[in-house]
Amino acid sequence: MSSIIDRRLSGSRSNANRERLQRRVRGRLQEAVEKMGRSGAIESLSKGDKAVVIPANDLHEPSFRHDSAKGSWDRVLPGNKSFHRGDEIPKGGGGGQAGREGAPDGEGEDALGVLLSPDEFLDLLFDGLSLPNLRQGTGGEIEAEQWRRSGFVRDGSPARMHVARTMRAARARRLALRASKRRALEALQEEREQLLADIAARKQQQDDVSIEEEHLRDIDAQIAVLQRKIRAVPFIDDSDLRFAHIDRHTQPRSQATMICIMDVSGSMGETEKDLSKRFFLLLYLFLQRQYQNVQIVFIKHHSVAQECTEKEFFAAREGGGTLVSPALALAEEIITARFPADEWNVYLAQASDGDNYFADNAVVEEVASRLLQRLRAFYYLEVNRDDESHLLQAYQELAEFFPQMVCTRARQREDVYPLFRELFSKPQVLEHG
Amino acid sequence: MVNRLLFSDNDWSFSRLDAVDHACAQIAQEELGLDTYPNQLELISAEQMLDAYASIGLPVYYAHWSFGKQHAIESGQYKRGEMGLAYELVINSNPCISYLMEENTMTMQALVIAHAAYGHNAFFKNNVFFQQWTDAEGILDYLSFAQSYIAACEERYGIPEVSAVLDAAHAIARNGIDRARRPRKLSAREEEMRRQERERYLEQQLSEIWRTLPPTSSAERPEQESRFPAEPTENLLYFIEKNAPQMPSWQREILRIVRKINQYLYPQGQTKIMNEGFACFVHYYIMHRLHETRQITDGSLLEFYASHTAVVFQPDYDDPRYSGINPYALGFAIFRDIQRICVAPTEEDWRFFAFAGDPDWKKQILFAMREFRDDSFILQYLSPKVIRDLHLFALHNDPENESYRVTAIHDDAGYREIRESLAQQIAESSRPPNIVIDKVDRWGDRRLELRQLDVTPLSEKDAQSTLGLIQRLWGYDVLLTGNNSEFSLAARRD
Repeated sequence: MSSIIDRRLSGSRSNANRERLQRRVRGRLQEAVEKMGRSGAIESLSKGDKAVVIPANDLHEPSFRHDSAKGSWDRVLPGNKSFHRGDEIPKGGGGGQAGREGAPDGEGEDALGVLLSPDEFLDLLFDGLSLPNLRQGTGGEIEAEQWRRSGFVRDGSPARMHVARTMRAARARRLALRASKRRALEALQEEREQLLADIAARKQQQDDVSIEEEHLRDIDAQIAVLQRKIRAVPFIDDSDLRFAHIDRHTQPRSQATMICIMDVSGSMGETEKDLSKRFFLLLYLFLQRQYQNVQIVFIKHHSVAQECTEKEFFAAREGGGTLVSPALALAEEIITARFPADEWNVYLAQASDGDNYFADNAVVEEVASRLLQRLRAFYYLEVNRDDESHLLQAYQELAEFFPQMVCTRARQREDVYPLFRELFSKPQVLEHG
Repeated sequence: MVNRLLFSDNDWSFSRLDAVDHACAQIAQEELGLDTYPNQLELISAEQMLDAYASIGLPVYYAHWSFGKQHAIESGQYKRGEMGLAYELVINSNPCISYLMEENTMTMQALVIAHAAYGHNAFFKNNVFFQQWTDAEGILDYLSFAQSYIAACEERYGIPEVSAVLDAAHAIARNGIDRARRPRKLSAREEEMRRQERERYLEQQLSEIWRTLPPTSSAERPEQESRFPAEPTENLLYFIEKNAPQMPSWQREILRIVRKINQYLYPQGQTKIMNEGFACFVHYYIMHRLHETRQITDGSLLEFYASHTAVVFQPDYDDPRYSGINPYALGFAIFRDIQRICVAPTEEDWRFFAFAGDPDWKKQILFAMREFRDDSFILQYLSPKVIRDLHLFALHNDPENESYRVTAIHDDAGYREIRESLAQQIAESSRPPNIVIDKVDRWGDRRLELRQLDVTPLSEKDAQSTLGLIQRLWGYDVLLTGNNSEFSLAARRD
């Protein structure tokens, strides 16, 4: 007898093999991922499965086998159209009758496509990198009180009443309280039927039925009582009420905010924006892996600074001169208002071509040195510029006093990922207040 | 008996599967007289089918990166639409497990049940080669034993260590099969007990073979010391498992697991044409009978024809789709022809086949299914008609010549030659290069010497890497030479 089993829900079992494959080719995967990190489309970095192609010769499985190209052989083939015994067929000529057959597994496969999930991809992309100045251990982490659900209770505010649980309890109570009475009622009704039949029978024989009728009245009275009792079991009772309970938990909170500042004055062209965007995105993805919650704030500026949406941030192109200090001042304002330093790890990333109104550099220095005390890190990326700008020089001076000030430069998109790796692969030991 | 349609629209459901299975069982058992293991039909998704592909169709298998690689290749091809998945997959076990894809239409499920659950199943149970070489009862148990043993090794010695041993074992797995001796039955529990016993025994044994104390007197120092091994031995995996000087016992056990599983799979490679041919014959018969008895509609029959013809299609040698002889096509053609030779023999058949005109064609089919394997089956049953239908011709390649020579075509002079040539070709294609362990220098540097007995050149790069892997297992130098010393490869201990 055949048995039929539905296995569809038992899922895939290839993960162990997949994990071993990735372990084996980790180096190759890493190369491929880094290549994508350098030149791949920016949007695709953060989402979706990624097909990574690695050379398959690392994965070749050797065995003793004959070389099909060498030696003499006899072979039978199907589909003869015009050959006769003794015909000679020039080798390498059109027919293609040999060689295709019997190519053993393992030949001709020169590349293997491996599909990486977003997590696997980012693991490889950020492999070996660490965030400097990350608060570690319980001491440094931010404690936050949070309300959290914790079961159900019988008492609470009406607003938190849990209807489904309450109805379930009510139903259980009703069933329990009515069950014995229902049973008794059924028994009585059966007895009554019996009695009625008796009475009918006796009447037919013209016997006296007064005792039976007495009995019947008695039963009817009992039935009435039971029915009343059953009806009296309330549909819902105070004891049924259930409330969702919430409780306060203190837990270490790891959250960060990333403030992106970009110059959108006329001098920032597509190339400059692309470079900046790559850097911001990498930083964002990286922070996201370090913190449970990462907030992101965009500030664009030319001579005035303005908080904006992501779309505006990358699309904006406005004319005018450039002043950096208003952007920093705005950042400071936002931090003060929204991201108190004891709850948030604040990172600031600025991208600019370095053009700044000369007299502004002094103001920048002043604001920045105030700002730096409240930041985990301040990344300044100077894009597409041959020489070092005055702004960069000003920041570099600051970096001597504030180790969280990090300056770097990029000329083309391929530079961004390597410089990113460089920034985060060196262990930086910083003290902070 | 009044037959009702088993289904009229094409969605499958469990009750329909059950009904179809009953109908197929009835035809298979009562009309064809097939004897099968009990069936277990399992519905699986495409993803699970890909998993099964990666582990050679085995339901339980240990983990190794090469299966992950296989999976990556196949799922890539599948997702790009370059490869369709098989409709079914069947495992030689008792009960016989058949996987049915959930994407199949009801007609396809019927076809698959007839093909796998009755065709293949009967073949597994009755073919003499499977009976002698595999153990359908014990395999599922043994596979779980293997899986948990290897997982335990990974836990204990690390994944890279275990993987290195498996890599090497897989490389010589094809040279790890006893071709002449029947293997013992498998049982997971006994296996575990025997394993422990073996471990103890082996340690004593080995110290005996590899005793390093100098012999007490130089007279004993063996000039006449017999060769070791006494006879060249072709089972490399077995020899290394038993004799590697310093291998920890868990590694020996892993070699044994690889050897046992390959031994179990061995008959499948030896009977591909017969097995598929017979299963096609069975599904062809059952589907027609279902139609004749009005249990499936004309539409279903047409759908069945479409899949069936695709499966048994043999592209010509010059067709871009050609990739060797299609075992389904050849096997099916031969089994059908056996039936024809019984039912409607021609004058030619009388000359070629003693059984021509036998009124009991079922007996002849079952006999052919039971008693042969691919090469002997071809030799016995490849008829002139099938050779003509497929337009088979034989080609000879001499590497010295500028051209191939046609040595036989489908004519009176060529039938026997084609038959022999094809049987030979099939026998060879399923056989690895004939490499034996010639001797071990027991008293010197413990070098392991391999010799290739056949003359067909080896792929040198592969041979060299394989030697390297053997060297890792053996622990000392490994040397491979041609039978007449045409070549010599070595892998040295670093």
